[in-house]
Amino acid sequence: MSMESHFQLERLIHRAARYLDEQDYAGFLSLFSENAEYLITVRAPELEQKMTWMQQSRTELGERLEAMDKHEWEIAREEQSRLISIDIVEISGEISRTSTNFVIYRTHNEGQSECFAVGRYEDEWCLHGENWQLQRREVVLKTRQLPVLSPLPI
Amino acid sequence: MSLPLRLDGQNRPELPATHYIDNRIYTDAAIFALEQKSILAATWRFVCHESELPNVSDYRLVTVAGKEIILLRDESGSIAAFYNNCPHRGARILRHPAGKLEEGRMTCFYHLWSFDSGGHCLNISQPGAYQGTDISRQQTGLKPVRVEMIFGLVFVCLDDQVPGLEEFLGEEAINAMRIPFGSANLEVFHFHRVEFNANWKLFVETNNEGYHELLHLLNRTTAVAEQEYRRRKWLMHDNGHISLEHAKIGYGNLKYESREEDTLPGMEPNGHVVVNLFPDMMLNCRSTVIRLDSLVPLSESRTVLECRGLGVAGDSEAVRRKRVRHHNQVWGPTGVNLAEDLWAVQTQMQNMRSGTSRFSIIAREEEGPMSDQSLRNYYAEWARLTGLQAHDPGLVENRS
Repeated sequence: MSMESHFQLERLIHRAARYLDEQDYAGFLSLFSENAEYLITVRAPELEQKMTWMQQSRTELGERLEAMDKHEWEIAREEQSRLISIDIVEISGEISRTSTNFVIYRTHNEGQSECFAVGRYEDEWCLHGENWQLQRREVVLKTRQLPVLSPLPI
Repeated sequence: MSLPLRLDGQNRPELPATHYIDNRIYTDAAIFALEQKSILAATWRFVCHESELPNVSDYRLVTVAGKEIILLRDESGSIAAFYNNCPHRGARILRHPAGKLEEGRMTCFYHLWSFDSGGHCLNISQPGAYQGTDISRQQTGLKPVRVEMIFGLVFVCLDDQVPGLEEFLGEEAINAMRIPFGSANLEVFHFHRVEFNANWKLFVETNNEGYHELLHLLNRTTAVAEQEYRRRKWLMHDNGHISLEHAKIGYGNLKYESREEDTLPGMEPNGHVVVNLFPDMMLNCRSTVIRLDSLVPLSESRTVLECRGLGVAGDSEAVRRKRVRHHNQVWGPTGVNLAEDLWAVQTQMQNMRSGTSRFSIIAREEEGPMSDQSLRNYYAEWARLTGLQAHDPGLVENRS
């Protein structure tokens, strides 16, 4: 079970990255359990504290993504590409924890690409039947000055 | 009888001079150089909130008019400011965005000259070689910068000749800030910067006019439709400062959490307060939480926006979480509005730089917050300080 879970978790992390790259937000949300939480946090050396930039339930995130087309968000009209490196997978019964480093590139409409953000996905998973679901994703950003702001999940 | 010229962004509009802008004020490097001297270095500029320097020896680096400044809490507990420049050979003395002075001193990493929190020189390394010159520890120090504070908001001014902060703000603007800034012990819980490709004044305009709220789904849904919100007026104060009459917002219209509870001291439930200080600061309070915007203009076409979120010092964990949530919904790097404002000004800048947009219209005359009177008021002050006219700045090279 452990090795099978290990492979399944790695596959799900890669799938989450692909869903975000492809702006398949329905697919992305399908990886979360009903009461899951999504956060983006950043450490601010100016304040010597950790800041929360986004904290949403799965439902709130779904509502924001549903209204996406009514907003004028530059980032929603660009392409992104994620490079991920799964660093830690810890499985303990029906709970697991993974830590994944990421680099995200953005490609402008005009075609040039640049780095958008670097950081880590700190994920908590729970086993529902035979499938792992995201219980909590914390996006720990190292990049504090984003080249384009993101009301969308990172 | 000739027909009026077509309004196409390139023909000079047939409007009163106060009602349109020559877009060269956004794109001309010589105008930006003049602004640096006559506005950005010659007015009081917000740089941080006192809660960012809670203890003696805490410091923070800020940039004003292209110059880096050390803000620090000195031994007496006051906030002092100095250029971050070693008087020996010009190296940066402090190199981290914020921190605490080690043993209360700043040591230049290049040749190890050191200074106390009052800017006095504590050590000149191997001073014997300066015998025979006037160079001595007693005659050496960091160059101080004027710093003053009101309601916990820290301002600096690079010009030693202009009047003090209170005179610059004026009684009306100070009264407009009093709630909530004067009625609570506030602290910063959020700080972020974003660099964007547009002239700094274009972003100021997003804070100074209400017409563009039609851009934002949030405002279209929760505010613009509210009678009280539509009726409120911009109030013009001395020296280019403005504020909006208070109004209530219908947050429930967008499935947003009501802001009737845990309001900041003095604020009405679902209340909204906006005070914009010339030249580049916005104080915006949405009932439970405050956003402070300020700008670091880098060039005529590149600007850094600094955003802060504030709550009440000593908030319970639950209340602070709520304030952070309310802050992030609208503002901040993941908020629904700020990304839209920044995209809008960058597309403006693109067309202004290419010359396809030569003139901008600021001609709306109405009672409500969508009037352009706030912009006309802004450019009257801009003209007073630069000596230029926004509708026809002329050949600036000869004046700067």
